[in-house]
Amino acid sequence: MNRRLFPAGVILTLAILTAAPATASAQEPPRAPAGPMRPIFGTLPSESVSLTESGPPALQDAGRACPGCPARHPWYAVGEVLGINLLYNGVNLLIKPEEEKIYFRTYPIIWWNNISYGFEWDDNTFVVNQFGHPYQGNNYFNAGRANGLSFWESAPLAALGSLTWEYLGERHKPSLNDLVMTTMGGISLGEMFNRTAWLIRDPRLTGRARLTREIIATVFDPITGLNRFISGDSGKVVEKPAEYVPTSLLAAFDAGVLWQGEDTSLTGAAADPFLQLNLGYGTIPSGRSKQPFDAFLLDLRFGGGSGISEATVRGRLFGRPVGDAPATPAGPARHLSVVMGYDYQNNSAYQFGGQSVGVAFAGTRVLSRDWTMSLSLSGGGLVLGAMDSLYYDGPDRQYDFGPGLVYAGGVVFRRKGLPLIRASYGSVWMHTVDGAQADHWAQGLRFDLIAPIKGRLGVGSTTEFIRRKSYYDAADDIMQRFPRLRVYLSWVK
Amino acid sequence: MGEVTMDLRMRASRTAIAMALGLLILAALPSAAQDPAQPRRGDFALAIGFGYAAAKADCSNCSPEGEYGSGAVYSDVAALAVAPVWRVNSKVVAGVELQLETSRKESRAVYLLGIVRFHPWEGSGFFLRGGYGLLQVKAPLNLPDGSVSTAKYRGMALTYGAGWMFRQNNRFSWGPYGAHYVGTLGSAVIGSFEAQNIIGNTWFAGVGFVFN
Repeated sequence: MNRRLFPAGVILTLAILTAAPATASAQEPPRAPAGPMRPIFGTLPSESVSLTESGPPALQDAGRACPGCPARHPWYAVGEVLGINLLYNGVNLLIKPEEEKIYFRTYPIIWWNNISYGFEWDDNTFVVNQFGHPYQGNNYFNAGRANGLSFWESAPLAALGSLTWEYLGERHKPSLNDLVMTTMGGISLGEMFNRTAWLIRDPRLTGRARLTREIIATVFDPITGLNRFISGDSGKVVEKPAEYVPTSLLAAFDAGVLWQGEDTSLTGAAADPFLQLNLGYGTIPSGRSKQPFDAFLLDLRFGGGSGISEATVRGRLFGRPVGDAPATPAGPARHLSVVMGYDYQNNSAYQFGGQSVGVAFAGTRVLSRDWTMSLSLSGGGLVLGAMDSLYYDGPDRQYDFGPGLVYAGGVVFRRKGLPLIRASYGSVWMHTVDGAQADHWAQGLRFDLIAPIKGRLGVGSTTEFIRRKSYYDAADDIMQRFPRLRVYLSWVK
Repeated sequence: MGEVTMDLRMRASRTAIAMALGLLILAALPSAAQDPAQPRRGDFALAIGFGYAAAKADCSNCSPEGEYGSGAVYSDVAALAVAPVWRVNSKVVAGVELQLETSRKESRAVYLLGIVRFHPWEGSGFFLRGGYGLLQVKAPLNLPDGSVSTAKYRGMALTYGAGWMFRQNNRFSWGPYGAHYVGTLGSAVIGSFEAQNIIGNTWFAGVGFVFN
């Protein structure tokens, strides 16, 4: 595996910057409190306010689960997965330097060489492996969603796309990290983008407003968008599929400055401006899940140390209340869910990316007429993670791969639904299986304070302290500490 | 070494082809007494599989050039798998697989994986399978000085594959399947040499029996 192109990712980034308000306004949610709580590492559900209940079961239509749902064409989906690979291959052949084009000229002998060789680890950059490949996988996954397949039916398509790319799409030897990151990251990002795009689409509209929304949605989820334009679904006036109407929606846009220090001091730390989007789609610790990712969280930060310094997704796979229902509305409520996670953190101090699956428990108690307290605990497996290596000095790669564990916990106090005080802890432990042999253990403490100013506007501060220790087999252990302070204006939609 | 490897792989290929042909003939025969059972969520089944696998172990500095490739060691492997599984829905079963592999050349591997079997079409025997979990392996590695040594380590593993199931949804079903297992072990110190980033690939072909 070598460096890949993901021009669509660049377009997407620009689109998110320009279209984020449209995303939030698509559902016109009621005034809502500040953004969801998310730990630095690990899985932790968030909470948000109720917007609208899902509609009744959709009527059957020829080949469609509902009138507004995509027509079911499994073989089209498979064909599109292969077509996406042809597209990636063609673009690489088109714009790569002449000396690199050879790596994308493949034919049956190359295919057989790749298949019979098996997998190894690759040395691509952190951005390519942790963001580029998951984005590529999101396209494969959405080839299924765009053709009427369910979440679980589309998941193997992400693996199919990755395998066919690794074996057939290029001369670089198939890489294990690509297979995992493309497949699992593709599923997480894919369903998130698919549902985000459906927040923008409104198939009840006509004319220019409709077209504009279809185009913007296509930027978020190109494969579904293109399928809709080709099939004519982009012009049909129908109800939005109930599957794509979240039970609640919450978006918070933060703009501010981030200081990241070293050791325990912020003295001398440079101020990095940042923009952040926090999207709460549905409510993870509430109700019984109907579909995977019918509740998910997205945190996306631009700036603050790099172009995209943070992208995290937490999607609920399953979820249900536990224990007896509260005797009164003020009684305690408890909830258990299985959450799939995607992490990408890339800043001047450290890098971490990974795919995880874990269990999250949440409990809520009403303290008084105005105040509630919510507690969250979560933990699970890091299927494959990547963390910057402090010793490895390879020619291209400066990070390690490995499986591990993620766990987190947090508490939030709300006044009239507004989360004024939040404290959380998150941790990841990763055992290296490729790179400098080590166990990396990173922990983070985070404390949020948000004060409303006027209307939907508030001012917030987030204080974080990250401690990382790397235990090397053949070198001295290293401990790093990073204090971080963010001050920002927050606009909640 | 190269000729030996080629010879082993050709023999293995012939064995696999003969096995597959035999299974297809068996499948074409009229089935015995049918005992259909409607699958329900939570139903338990025990799957047992065995077959042949070609295994390859390699590391990122095992070759004189200091990269993956020419330092790889190939082995013929006999494999036995036991998998208790539960039905999730009409298309999916999930469970745990324990696969034991052994070769004539001191290679031993044990996989403990969470697995999922997915039938895209309910009425068809075709299925896809995937899994993720742990691996313990003891395998020979070619060292740059020309010697061969063995390492025993634990790491992560994953598998994917496909197969066909005859008489599915009956009390007893069976069918051929193939799978690719990939195991990764990190680094291992073998004598005075540190084999870095060891990775193993195993290509399996065999037959599975399911007691529903």
